[in-house]
Amino acid sequence: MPPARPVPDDDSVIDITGLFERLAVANAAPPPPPKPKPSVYVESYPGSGTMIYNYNYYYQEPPTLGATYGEKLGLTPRQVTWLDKFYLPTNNTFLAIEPALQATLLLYLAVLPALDQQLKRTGTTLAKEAKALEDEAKHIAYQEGYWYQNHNRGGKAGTDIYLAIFRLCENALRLHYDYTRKGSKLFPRQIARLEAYFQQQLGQRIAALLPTLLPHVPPPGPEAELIFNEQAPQRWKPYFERLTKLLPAKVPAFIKAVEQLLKANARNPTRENICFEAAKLLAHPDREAALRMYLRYLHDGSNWVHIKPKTLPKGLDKVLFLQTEHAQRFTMIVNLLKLNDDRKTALEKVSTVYAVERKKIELDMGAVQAARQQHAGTVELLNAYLQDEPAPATPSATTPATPKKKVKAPALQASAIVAVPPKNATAKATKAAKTSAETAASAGPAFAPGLGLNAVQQDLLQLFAARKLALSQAEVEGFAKRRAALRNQLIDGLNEACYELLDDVLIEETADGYAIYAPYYQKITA
Amino acid sequence: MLDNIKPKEATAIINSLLGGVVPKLGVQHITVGRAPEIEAFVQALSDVKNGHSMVKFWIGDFGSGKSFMLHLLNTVALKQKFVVANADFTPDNRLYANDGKAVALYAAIMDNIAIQTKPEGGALATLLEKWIEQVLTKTSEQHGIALTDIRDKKHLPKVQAAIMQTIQELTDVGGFDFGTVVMKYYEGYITDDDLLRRHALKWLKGEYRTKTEARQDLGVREIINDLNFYDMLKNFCRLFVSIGYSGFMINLDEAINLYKISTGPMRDKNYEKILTIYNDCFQGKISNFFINFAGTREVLENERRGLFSYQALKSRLETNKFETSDLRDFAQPVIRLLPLTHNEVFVLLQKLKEIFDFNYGSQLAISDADIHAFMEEMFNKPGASEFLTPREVIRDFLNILSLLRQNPGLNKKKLFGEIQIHDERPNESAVDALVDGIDVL
Repeated sequence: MPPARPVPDDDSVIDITGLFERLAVANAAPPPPPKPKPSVYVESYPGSGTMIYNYNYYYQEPPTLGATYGEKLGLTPRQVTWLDKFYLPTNNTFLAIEPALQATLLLYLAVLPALDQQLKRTGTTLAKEAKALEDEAKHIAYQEGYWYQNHNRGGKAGTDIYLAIFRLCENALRLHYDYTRKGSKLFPRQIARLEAYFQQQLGQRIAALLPTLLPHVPPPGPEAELIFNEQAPQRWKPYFERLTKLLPAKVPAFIKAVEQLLKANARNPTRENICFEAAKLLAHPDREAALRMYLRYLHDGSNWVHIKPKTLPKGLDKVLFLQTEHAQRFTMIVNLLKLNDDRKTALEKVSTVYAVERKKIELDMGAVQAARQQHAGTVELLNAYLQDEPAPATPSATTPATPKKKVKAPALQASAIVAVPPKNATAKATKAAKTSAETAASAGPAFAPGLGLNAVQQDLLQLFAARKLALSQAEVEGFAKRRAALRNQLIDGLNEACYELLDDVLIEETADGYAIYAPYYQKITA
Repeated sequence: MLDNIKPKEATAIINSLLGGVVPKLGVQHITVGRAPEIEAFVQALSDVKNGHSMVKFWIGDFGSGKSFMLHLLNTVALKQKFVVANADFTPDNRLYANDGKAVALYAAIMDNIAIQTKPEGGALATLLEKWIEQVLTKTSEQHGIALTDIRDKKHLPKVQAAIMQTIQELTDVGGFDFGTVVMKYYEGYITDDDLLRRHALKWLKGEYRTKTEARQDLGVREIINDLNFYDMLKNFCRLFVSIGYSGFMINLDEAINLYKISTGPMRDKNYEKILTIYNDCFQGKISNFFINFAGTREVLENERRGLFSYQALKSRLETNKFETSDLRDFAQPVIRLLPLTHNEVFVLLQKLKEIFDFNYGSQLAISDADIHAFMEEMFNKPGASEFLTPREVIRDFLNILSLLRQNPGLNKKKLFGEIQIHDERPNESAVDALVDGIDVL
């Protein structure tokens, strides 16, 4: 027996205090044991789907809402009258959930006095408006070719109008509870056109009232949550979206909230998707938790016989499995889970995925010794190949071998440059120039014996010496032209001649010319 | 114990390895665990020097030392008076194409031509001038003209005739245009026309894209293109040998880019080109030519897209069926580079410590047990089994030696513990997925 409630003397006073209190207490209570389902009579009409009637009320009128809930919710006579305006719509999954129905009824009862009060301020009343709307409904039905009667409750005045208000409340509550399944239309199709007029007269006012009243509606209890989530399998998504804000800072709080969400979705046929989404989000901040969630996804998914389970995105593989061993160990756990269906053990084993196994490196001293000996042999062999070959002789002037025959590689020419005078000079001038060059060379520093530098090469080196061991390309080109030589060949010849001594290139190309490393110059002039 | 290492080599080794690159000098002192491969290679080099030709495929996984081996081949070959060129296959460089990608490979090869005195590449002009000098000497002897006078303009026709004759003796295909271009180069030198010389070099490097342009600049009707570039390489090989070089070695790395060619027929055409080169070399159609390809196991063995997808190549490159991991056959065209064993890495680190001490004249207190501990630490790092390479082990080891040399009081174990290894592999998964996707389509 619910506690007695004081009934206000003046109906015009809107008092919603305590209206939702009993519901809140009821919702917080543990879910009652499931009642046996009432027997139903199912009648099918071809082409019109299936209709379900309560068998008990087939030949008599069902009890009114007022009769059912008046005492239960401690309602006033006026509130009971308002409830008695219509029968509870059938075939409504939302209203079939008892806490949802009670919340809707209470919200409806909270809206009506507030609406009536508003209307009174404008010189009319709810009853008058209902009457006007009903007249309009008759008119519309007549135009549509129907005989109008209030559909819900065989001709009772204002039934359709109050039922529309009730439906507005129901739809608002559906949204409030994130119950995304669509609600029914406000009016039957015969008077569907009445909706525009209804919205204008009452709907807009109700829409403005609902946001102030909805916060007083208590949240659905655990049982209602289970049913909501069962009937609206995607209902978890907006809540989950809000949870993502906890990451990456509050991983434990996120995991705890996901656990609660999973509990509330215990009857949700697609609850494994919550685990999958959580696994994706946890991959970065907590790899182990992510793998656990993924295992739960694999385990909770009931229909893997027909549907292939989703794999984690490729991009996360590199995050979750830094090493191949990690992936291998996890695959093993997954296989065991599939085989044994033992979720608990599988979840426990996740901690072994990232366990560091320290490998011992065993060295075989015999093999080490053998490797050292082999290496000594390699060094000896390569030293033989890498040592500088003797300076090549001047090239022969014979015709190179024909391609058909095996080409015998002639010895490389190291100093093919012959000092020659400028192109148009006379033989005499040539001789004079040559002499002059040679004189110049002989007058300069002595080069290391055995280099076999010719006069032009020696002159070029002296030119380098005179210019702080650096010459521009143009200068070398000019020198080569004056001495009837080819620039590249002149440099290369010098490098080749000195390579044995230096074990490196004497003249190096720089960005805009050539340079000689000073210690190398000292070495060849030593 | 160090084997006759020179101070200069020690410095080069330490400096280069600290920078993560292969040293230019003294590379033999760090070539551990590759004795049979080196023997096989020097034997091949010796054969090529004697007039044979050779194709080798260096196959190994990431970090197995393919690029190191190619570098070593490069160093040895340069010392052995080979003309060497290195190039990488890329999405825009390949052996067969009809949109300029093959000639792009040729251009890359010609741009990287190196000789001992010009090891960094760009030696084509030098080689050309060397050869012209030879022709001049020969012409002056033939016509009894003094060497000092042979460059005179009035002797130009004689020199030109000699150039053409020599070129025609040396070349099979495209000899006329090749000779004409070399003549233009010489003409440019005689007439002091630098532009003409540059045009000639541009032609020889395969940088002309249209025949019209080449005709305007040089008066030749043909250019080096996707179809004839291989003939030109053969011509150059003969020319280099005639100058006096031991041969022409080309190293082509990153063969994975051939494997990644998305269209099957185009991939097959590229493999067909490899087959042509292979046949030319081993059937004696060309002398003193050595070409090396480096790639991963997938490139060779993948039956759908690798070299083994081309049956003619598969039958030629298949492993000696009697070969095992202990009984290796290095005389095959395919040389598989197996990762270094722990024992070999240990020897390598011992050697590096010795070289380091030799270089700095130090005596760091790093015992064999410390090296062992370092290795254990490295190989136990996350991801080590997947992407730890000798390069990274060496670099970290030398970094630690360097710190210990400058701060003798540092705690070795703490340093070992702080090492972190990184995945240095190229990120190819996205590309592969795309290629696979295109293939499916």
